Amino acid sequence: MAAIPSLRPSLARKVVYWLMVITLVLAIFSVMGCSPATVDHPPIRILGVTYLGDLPTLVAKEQGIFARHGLTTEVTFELSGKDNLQILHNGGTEFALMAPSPFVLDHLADDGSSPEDAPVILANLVHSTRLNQVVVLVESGIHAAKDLPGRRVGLVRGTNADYLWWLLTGFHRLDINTMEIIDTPIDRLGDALTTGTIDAAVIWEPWTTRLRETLGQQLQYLADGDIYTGQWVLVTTRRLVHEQPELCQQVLMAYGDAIAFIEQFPQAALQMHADHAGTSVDVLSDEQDLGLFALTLNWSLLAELQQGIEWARAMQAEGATRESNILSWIEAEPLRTVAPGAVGIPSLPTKDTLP
Amino acid sequence: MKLVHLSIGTIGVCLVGIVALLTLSLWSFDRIQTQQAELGDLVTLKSQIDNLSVASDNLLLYTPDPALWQAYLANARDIQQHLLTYSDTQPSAQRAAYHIDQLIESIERVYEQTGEAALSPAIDGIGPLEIPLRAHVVMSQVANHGIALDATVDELLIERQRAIHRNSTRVMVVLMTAALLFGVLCVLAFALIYWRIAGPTRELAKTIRQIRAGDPRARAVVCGSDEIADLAHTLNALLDQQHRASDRIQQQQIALTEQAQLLQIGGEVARFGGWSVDLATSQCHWSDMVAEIHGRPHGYSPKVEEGISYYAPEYRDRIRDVFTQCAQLGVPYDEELQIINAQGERRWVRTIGVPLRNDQGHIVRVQGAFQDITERVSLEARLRQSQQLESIGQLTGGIAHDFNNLLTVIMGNAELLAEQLPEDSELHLLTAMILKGAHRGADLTHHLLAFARKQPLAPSLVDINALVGHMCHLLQRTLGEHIRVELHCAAALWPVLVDPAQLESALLNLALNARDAMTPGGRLIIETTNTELDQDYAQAQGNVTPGLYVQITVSDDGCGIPPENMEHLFEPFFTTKETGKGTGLGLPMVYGFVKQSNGHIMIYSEPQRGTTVKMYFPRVATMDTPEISPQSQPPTTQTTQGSTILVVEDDAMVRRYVESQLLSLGYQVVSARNGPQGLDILQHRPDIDLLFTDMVMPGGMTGCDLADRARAIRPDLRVLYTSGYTETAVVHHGRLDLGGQLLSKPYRREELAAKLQAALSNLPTDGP
Repeated sequence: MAAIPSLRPSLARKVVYWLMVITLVLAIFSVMGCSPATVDHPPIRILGVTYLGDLPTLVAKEQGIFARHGLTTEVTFELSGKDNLQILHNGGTEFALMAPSPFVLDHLADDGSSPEDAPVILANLVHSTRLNQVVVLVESGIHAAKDLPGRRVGLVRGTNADYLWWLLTGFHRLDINTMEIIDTPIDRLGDALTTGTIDAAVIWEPWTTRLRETLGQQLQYLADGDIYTGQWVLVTTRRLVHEQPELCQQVLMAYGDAIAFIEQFPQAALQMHADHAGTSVDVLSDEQDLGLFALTLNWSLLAELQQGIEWARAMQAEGATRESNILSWIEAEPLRTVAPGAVGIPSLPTKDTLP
Repeated sequence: MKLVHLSIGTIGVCLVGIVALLTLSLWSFDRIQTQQAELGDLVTLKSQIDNLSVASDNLLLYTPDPALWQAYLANARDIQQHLLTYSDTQPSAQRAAYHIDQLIESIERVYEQTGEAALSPAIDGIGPLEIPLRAHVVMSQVANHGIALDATVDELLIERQRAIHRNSTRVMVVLMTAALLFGVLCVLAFALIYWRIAGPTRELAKTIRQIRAGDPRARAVVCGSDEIADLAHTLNALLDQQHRASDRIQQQQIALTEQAQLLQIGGEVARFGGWSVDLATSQCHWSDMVAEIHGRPHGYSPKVEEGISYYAPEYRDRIRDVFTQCAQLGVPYDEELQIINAQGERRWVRTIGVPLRNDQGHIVRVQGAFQDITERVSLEARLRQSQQLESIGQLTGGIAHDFNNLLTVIMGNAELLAEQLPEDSELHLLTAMILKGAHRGADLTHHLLAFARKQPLAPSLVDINALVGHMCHLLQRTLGEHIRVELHCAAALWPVLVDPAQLESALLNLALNARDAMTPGGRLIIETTNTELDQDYAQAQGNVTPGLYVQITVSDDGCGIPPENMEHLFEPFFTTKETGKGTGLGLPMVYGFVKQSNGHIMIYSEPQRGTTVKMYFPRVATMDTPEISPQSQPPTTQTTQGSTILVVEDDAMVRRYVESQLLSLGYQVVSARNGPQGLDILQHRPDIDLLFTDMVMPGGMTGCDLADRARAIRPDLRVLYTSGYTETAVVHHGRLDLGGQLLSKPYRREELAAKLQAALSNLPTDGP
């Protein structure tokens, strides 16, 4: 466990903290002692993103929660969920974390030729409006969405940033033709903004914090950035769900424990993210809301997926007009087994689970 | 109810209570679980309904694909069916199910109004309601937040429900565990109480039963240091104390019993008892011995007046006076009086009375001792008589001794005169009268010496039966034919050592007395037998040595002796005969002879019935029996005249008389006035042939002493003793000392000559 220097608890809180730590350690040992024998198979690969929304993956890794659940994991962090999805398709990982946007685009583009290899959502991890932001420089003169026409906006196409931009323009009735969208990798958007290549950038944590650290008060968040409620889903392949449902359940339980840790020790979790992203936890604490971390499968996700389909159709994405069955994109049984109350969506008949 | 049963019952009730409590707890837990399950089910149902509501909103915003629509409908129907399961108990569930129908119908109505396009992908517009994108985004955003909110709240509710469930379960488990522990503790507590109380209590009860059964060593077991142990310890201490007290009481009882036995023995021996009189009731309380003395059965206790009536009439006033003074004035008394008991016997008693006062000083009781002293009084009377006879004897003996000396001189001188005077002279007649009177005086002094037990005896081993048989013929002739003499001799009669002449004289005296008491036709019975006088008899008589005796009984059937004369029978000169018929010296002589022979004499007489005199002579053991002296041999014709005789006599007149007699008999005479002078002469005169000495002389050296010392100087010296009476120093074991002859005073000249001749010739004589 990483040190928690930011904590300034009172004596009572300190006592409670250490009692909880001791309890947790004991629980860990007891769980280790009581849990079934460690499965002797190759490490489970989990691909996360250096992203505040993917904090459960980081916490689970850093706290050894995966190992506590008998999982031997290999956790790596990529730049975006879109990349993770591509690796999942390539068989480079068993589990991948991503936003619903690339997942929707991927499914719409899928012709259904290999349903067993299709990615399926096991759970949504977060519900937050602070994860993605539209940032501008103060000197750009852009203060609201209405100031964006005629300007150049940098973002990563096919990501939730692209989806946020669609929502923003739709909500403010902006003519997308009056603005230039520049598809830029996430790690270059800061430079593009500071060099004037773009006037605004749609980015996500930790890039917003990094820009804040770099630009300080020169960086300004566009007020309507919270039009998008970001979600972050755990995705695997249908084959894995069918062949190793216990593995999926173990992974979900590990994520549940990681979320419980975040709920109990938000500052410690934030510190972990700051350390992992190389940012200042002070800036992060000032600017960021951790959002609502929870393992859920409910109509919010269905609405997100439906709206994502609408977004894909609006963007005339590949296969956007194809009839879809979004319930088949979700494998709710593992989560229903682990946390029945977390599943609020109807179940499909068995024959309908395959699109 | 016994503690053990109470404890077992309580433990049983506790166990039943535990089972009931556990059952109640399980039932309550099941009820709570059921209700919680119902609540959880309702919460889940509400969550599903919320999801359904959200889904409905979503279906208005986004056109669902057919699968999603069918899933929605199926989900709605499931919820509806779920609600209907509560319709029996919850009417609102029915209404909720109805609202779901309304909800579905509303959505379907929208889809019907928008045509089939509503269930197909909305390419041209977003959602079935054709809502502008701006509103669509906002509503979707709000809906998402709502969903998130609902989900969060639902999760919160579920978590809280789970937490409550866990807590309630924990509380129930804690309560059940607490109840179980409490019950177990109750059982253990009662078991402990049973173990700590009932067990030791049973041990205590067992100990008490052992004590009641008579086991004095039973003690309670002391375990631990609790109250029961204290009780057991205290009980043991009490038992120890009681045991010690019991031992003391037992020892005291034994001592008291011994004391009572000793007191009873003392009372029986001394015929001693206690009595008391309750003055308030005049009731006497007699001890058994007091009742026995009165001739009444044990436990008899009369009134005071009856008690006084037992006293002899001459003592009644006296006892009444002293008792009254004691009862009224507190004057104690100690009286020796006579009573007449219930059998009419007179008994001497000693009665002692003392007053007993109460706390106020009032005399409430007179109590005292009562002793039958008849035997003592009788013994004292006999002792007095014996002492009186002893005094008379000593007086008589002393007078007779001196009188014999005088008679010796008179008789000797009278004989000399008679030899020298012509027989036809008047002086010769006077001399003869002097001699006759002197001889009568000698007889009298002889009788007096016999009574005084100072007559010289020549005891020998005598066959009593032979002697009595010989006497019987003599007596028959003496008493005459009108008196029948009977003789009853026991066989194998023991030998006795007695002077046979004196015994014959005694028998003759008794026979003459019997004859005088009998009328013609009377019967005199003489009996001999062996007998034993035991210790009791000896003590009762006071002057008798217990042992084996030969008894000679002389009985007659004459007039008997009046009781008032009984105590004077042995007194010299006491006689009831007419003047001149009795000297009053017969029975005293017999008494003196028997006593001098170490015997015992008793007289029993009843007026008009007769008299019995019993003489007892001690048995002589055969080995102690001396050889019977050979029969008298004829005197030797060897002359002894010319021999030298040393005369030792303290009485000068007698000494001069003896000198003249010896000279007249032709002997050489040397005289000494006492023993030492005689002894000195013997040492210087070896020519002395015979020592003629008085037995009793002043100066401490008797004739016997002188003879012993003279024989030390001259073992062959002949000795002739003379005495007015014989002392025990002269007679050893009833016989004269070996080598000595005795000449009793007064003696005649011929007797002196014969004794001298015999002594010098070493011949025995017929008697003293």
